[in-house]
Amino acid sequence: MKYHQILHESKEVRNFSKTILVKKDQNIETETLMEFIAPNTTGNTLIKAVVMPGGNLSLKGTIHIGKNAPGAQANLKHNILLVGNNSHAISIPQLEIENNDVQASHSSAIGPVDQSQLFYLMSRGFSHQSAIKLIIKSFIAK
Amino acid sequence: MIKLNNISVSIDQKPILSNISFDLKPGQITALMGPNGSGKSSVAYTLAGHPDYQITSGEIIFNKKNINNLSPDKRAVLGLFLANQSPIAIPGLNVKNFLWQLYKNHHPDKTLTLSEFRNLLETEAKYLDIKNELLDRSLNDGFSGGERKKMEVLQMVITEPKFIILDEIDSGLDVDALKFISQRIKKLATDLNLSILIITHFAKILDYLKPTQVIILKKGQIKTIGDADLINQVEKLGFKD
Amino acid sequence: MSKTKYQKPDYKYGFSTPEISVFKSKKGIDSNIVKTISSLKHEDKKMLNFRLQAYQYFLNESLPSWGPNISNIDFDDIYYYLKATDEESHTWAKVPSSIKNTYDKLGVPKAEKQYLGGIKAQYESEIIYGSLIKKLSKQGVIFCGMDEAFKKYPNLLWSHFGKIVPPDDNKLASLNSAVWSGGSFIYVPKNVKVDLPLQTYFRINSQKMGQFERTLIIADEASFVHYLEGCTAPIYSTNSLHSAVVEVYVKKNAHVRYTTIQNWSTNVYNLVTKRAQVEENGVMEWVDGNLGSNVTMKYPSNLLVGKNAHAEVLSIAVASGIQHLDTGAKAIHLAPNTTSRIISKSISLGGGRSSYRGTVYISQGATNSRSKVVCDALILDKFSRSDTYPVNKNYEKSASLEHEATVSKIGQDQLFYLMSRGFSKSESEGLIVNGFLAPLVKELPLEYSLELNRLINLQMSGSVG
Repeated sequence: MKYHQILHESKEVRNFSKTILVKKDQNIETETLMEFIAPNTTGNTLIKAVVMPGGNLSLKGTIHIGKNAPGAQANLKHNILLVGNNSHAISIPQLEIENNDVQASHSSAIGPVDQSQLFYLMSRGFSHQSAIKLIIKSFIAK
Repeated sequence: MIKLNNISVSIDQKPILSNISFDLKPGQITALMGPNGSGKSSVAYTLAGHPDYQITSGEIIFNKKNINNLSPDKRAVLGLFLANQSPIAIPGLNVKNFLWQLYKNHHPDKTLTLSEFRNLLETEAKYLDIKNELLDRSLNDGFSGGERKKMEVLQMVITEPKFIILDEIDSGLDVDALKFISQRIKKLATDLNLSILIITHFAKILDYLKPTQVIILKKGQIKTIGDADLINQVEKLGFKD
Repeated sequence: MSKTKYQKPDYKYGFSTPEISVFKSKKGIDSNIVKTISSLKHEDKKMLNFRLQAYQYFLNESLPSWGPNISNIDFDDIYYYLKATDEESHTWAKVPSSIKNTYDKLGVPKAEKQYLGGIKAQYESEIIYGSLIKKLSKQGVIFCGMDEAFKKYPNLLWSHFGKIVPPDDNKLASLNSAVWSGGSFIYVPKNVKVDLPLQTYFRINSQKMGQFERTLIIADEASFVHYLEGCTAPIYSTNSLHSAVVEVYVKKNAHVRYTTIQNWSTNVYNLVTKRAQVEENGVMEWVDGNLGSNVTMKYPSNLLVGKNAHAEVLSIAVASGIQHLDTGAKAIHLAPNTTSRIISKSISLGGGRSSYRGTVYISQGATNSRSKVVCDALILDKFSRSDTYPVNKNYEKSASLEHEATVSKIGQDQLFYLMSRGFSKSESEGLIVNGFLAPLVKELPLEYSLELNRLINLQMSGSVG
């Protein structure tokens, strides 16, 4: 899936977010491109994903701020949770900035289920499976 | 020393101060008070030459010179010092090195050697109760509110200005810190015959640095100018008419 | 500091290098040139075949499709072998005035100016060099030129050479493998810690940093060494292509730090392949400073093959004017509990373009591994450009891979604060920029960090280049 957004009006604000669940043995590829071509624009891209065992995720996200887009504020976030064996994720967040009067940032995290959260829930009586489900739910909700 | 004649100021074409006029003589302490949002900090930034603050009419005369169009560094070199409410951090800028540069910039003819300067720094830091290790860190980076304000005062001592603006230097300070800072400023004021503009909400600092002139600001305009008696009124009645 | 011109060997220290007459190959490359290079160096058949095979790879491979535009390199318009006492009849007059001006402003003394401009040899270094070499050989440390290393230690060399960066790795590495000359060889025996940084400066029996240097470092178990190459002051080179290859072996429990500062003149394409293989509990640190060249493509890479291996890359790039610096790092996690940290700080000004390019790959089975990448970029004016091109692959459910990047201009509040203290606008910008780079600059040896700060301030005030 490819998502292309262009901020072409002065002071335009765009917030794009997506939550992806990669099921067992599924392969998902998603690409986003946000282009800033007008002054004082604001654009945020947030992609959250959960990759189940055997799932494969490829996420590419580009922020391009052009010469004619001073005052741009851009942010891109990839937040990916690897749940089980053979979960694979690739994150390619890119920034191309041609103007200095901007604030641009991106962050990408591909990581495991928090073991201390898992232990805490299990110590409260949740089975391993239910605990993982809860953690995934709260990851998506936050 | 400094005179504001009918100063009106806008930010992004939005008026925030209108028709502000007052003056300070050498050695005079003036308090600038008013409710939140009255424009007190705006007066401070306008005096210091912050680029966001556009003077739309009037003039600021500092030592007989019109400084409306002077950049902040030129005003600083003339002897104007703004002690910030929330001093910004500059990661990677070592405090000692910064202060040494500051000293050299403001005293081109002075003869303190680097080691004499270091001794001076340590003495001053002790006086202000600034931990020595802070001097080896990045300016304001990870410093508490109180530590940052003490840093401002340390810089004041080093630059030896003629006119200082204290922008709510008392907010967030504990009783002891307020005492150290106020006493140090008072000594500096006496030594240098400093003019001081104190911007504050609370009268406590005014016990240490007693103003002879009090200005009340409301909605970007001067409501009243009076003497120290005004302070009692404000304490009793607040800022309502 | 930088390399001296070739000097006749000093037999006092017990090193002998074969006599090599003045020679300059014709421009361009073909298998005859490769053969001539090999015979002039009196190499054995094994090396000759290695070179010839590499040349074939070079012909068959294509330039990378990503990165800065290097299609302008005319491989036929380059001298591939220069070995002489008078390299290109350098005169001080021929050194570009922008470089001469920089030396003036840096306050570099006259003799050094000529040296850095590539004229005079440094004779004073002999004395320091002599005592250092004595100490090192007592410890069993080998530090010599690559040419010599092959003659003296062929088994050691052949068991390590061309394995981390094989001759068919990429087009520029193939080229280097075919025509390489010069470079350092370092071997540190088990448990030996070399406390003084080893610099190319000390190897006076090598020519100044050549176009196609090949460096090989082997740090045996539990050893430590810090290798330093380059120079902050601008080096004028008439050679427009520099393509070095560096291979580093960090064996079990060993620790290697490799510091490079380059400030090549802006006619140079600087395309380098640097890679380390890190074994169990090993630590590899790269400190990479990129100031010069027209185009630089350099991504110190780390293969973390043993458990608990750790790699760190600290990268600074300052791109101004016509420069395009495409730099970064790679970390490949192939064993459990491995960690990597990549910190990149770049500045673009005056139309320059600085790009971070990196890859972190955590393979399945590299359990509990962790990687963190932080890239911060400052663009100082509206003519300049900054990019970030990271690739993050995590195939291990227990591993964590984090990456953050920011791009901005100098903070206006910080600028106002310093100006309100009496610093002029450009002084304030200089202080902020130096502060921005400070955490990485402090990892450099002191004389480099001082010079680097001054050099950056000069560049920012627009008074050079």
